[in-house]
Amino acid sequence: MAATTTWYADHGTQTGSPTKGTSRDAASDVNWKNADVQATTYSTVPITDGANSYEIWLNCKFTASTFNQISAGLFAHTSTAFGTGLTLKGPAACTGDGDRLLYTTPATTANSNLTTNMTSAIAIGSGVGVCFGATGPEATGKATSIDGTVDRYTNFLTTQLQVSGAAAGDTAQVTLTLQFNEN
Amino acid sequence: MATPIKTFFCAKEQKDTEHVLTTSPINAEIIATCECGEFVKFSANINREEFDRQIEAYSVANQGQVSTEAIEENLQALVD
Repeated sequence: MAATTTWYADHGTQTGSPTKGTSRDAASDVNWKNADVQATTYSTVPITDGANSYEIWLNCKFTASTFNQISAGLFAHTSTAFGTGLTLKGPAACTGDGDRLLYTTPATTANSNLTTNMTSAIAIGSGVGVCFGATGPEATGKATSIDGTVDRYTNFLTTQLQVSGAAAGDTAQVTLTLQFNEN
Repeated sequence: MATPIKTFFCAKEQKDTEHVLTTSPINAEIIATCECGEFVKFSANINREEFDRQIEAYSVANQGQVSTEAIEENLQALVD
């Protein structure tokens, strides 16, 4: 079997416990921008030099019964360099419930919980660890390996683009990779 | 007043380097810029204790990254 995966991004005011976004939208392509609305065209809401983007609260769903088990998740920026004046921040490694990133309402202030510097493209093998669980990226029960009896979700794979001294215009289109083993 | 400099781990260089501290004119966040050109932002008005805690967390989170640039340079060095 091959696992069926779908990317999502949470948006809006944090709600519930554990916290999640008000909405969760399928995300085939994402853009860092000065707005927390997925449908907003990025070019209409550019990030001012010296400021930061809203965080993007990505997560990946694995559809039930399309795999037996998934494990060894890794997340990293793997291709194409950013230009000068841009820093991409991301989540620290997740090893279980204790260190999974908890959703907070997206904002443009520098998110101090995003401790991984994802600016440089790196080998996926040196990416941050990712966990999997049921119900949603916010839920407890995250583990490094899990079966496919029900839908599974990664922890939040949140990123924020921070800007200081960048030239105006679009950034390079970079590749962020989620790697996992499955059987 | 001397330019404030803080030595801490650089994700790109994969070693401790000097970072020059400035503030963003947009939102007063602290910008720590490494001599390699990479920068890291910290919250505005952060205190020393929290600054040191975040630097330590940053160091732990970024150790061991293997850049694709370094991999390509190593490959090229094998044939130069």
